Amino acid sequence: MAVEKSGAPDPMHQFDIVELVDIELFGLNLSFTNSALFMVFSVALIIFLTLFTFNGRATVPTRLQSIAELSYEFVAKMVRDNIGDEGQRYFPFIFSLFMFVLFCNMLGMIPYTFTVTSHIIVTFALAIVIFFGVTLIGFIIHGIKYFNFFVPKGVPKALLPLLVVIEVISYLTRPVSLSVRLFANMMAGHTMLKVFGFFVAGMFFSGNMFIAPLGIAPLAFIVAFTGLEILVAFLQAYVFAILTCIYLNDAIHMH
Amino acid sequence: MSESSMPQLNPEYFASQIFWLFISFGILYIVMAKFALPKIANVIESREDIIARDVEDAENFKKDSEVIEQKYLESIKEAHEKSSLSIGNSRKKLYKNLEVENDNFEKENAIIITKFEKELLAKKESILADKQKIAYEISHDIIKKIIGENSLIEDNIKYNITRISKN
Repeated sequence: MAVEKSGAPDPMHQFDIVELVDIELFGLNLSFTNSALFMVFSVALIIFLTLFTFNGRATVPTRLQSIAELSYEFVAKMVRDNIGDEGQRYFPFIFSLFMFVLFCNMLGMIPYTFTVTSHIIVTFALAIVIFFGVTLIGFIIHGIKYFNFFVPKGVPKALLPLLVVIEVISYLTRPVSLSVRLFANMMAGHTMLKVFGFFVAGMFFSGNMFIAPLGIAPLAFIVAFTGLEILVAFLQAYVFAILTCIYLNDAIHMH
Repeated sequence: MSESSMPQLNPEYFASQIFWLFISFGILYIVMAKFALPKIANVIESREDIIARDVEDAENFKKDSEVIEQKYLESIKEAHEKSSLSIGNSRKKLYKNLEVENDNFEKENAIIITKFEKELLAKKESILADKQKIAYEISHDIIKKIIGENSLIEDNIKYNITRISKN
């Protein structure tokens, strides 16, 4: 629990980036930080789960193997339902994306860890890559006709200029909404937990015998809210992946 | 410590985060696409094959067992028919034997009965003869004592005795 020099605890302290190994390349600060550490840790966990839990080809899978298989089938179904057979090419990407976001979110739920996805730059980098990738796929498949995407069908001609502008704006804001949704959810949840954590500590150690027992209330709230946050961690990973699927489907099939 | 209250808005580490994101996510994507996912797909597929084969085997075994059950029921039915047939046969045989034995018994019985009847009749006749003889002698003696020997009318006595004994 960090206490600023002013004396008031800062709930944003948990999002601080800490340099672990100084690295400078091409004049850029590419230091290995706590954020990078948890990215690498997530990736290592996912690779372990999907690659090293498989014990031969037993008919009955082990528990960890079941998790890997369930994730596989979960994402495979998501891709199949939202994109169809053409989506199979992008399945490895969607799977990596879902697992990466999920593990970063979940690892962040462990106390004293760092939540990679609570930084807008990370989620925005993912979203902008998805945005450009999807747009590129759209132009590769449909060529110049992909611009028809911005022209809604069956609309009075008088309204078209306005609607095209709206469509273009909504298309361009996709990476923003995609990244801000994930980042804001993770940051808000963790900040909330921290703030209530300060309440609990502050009340329990207030030295006032009337206030101290009341600290149980924010503690109970934290317990319940942690459950909700775990749900949100899963849900946001799911939303991130499924929106990517929907964007891909738009690019492949238009609408 | 950042000047901003939000470390997320401090651009100092933007490059570092993007760099490490692409490195780690790139490695993840390559490992997933080249190794992990084909392996999982393979495992799931082979398990589905195994399950499909096992289900097929189970269905075959079920069919076999149904055939065997059918055969079993048929053989039970057959045995049942055979046994009831043989029971009927032996019963018929038994009745025939019984009838023959009965007839024989009745014939022998009839012979024995007629034989005894004859003997009985003979005895009866001899007893009757004795009775008549004794009655004659007694009445002969009585008449001799009362009236005297000469006045004995033999034929009259015999006639009377015969008449009385018949009554």
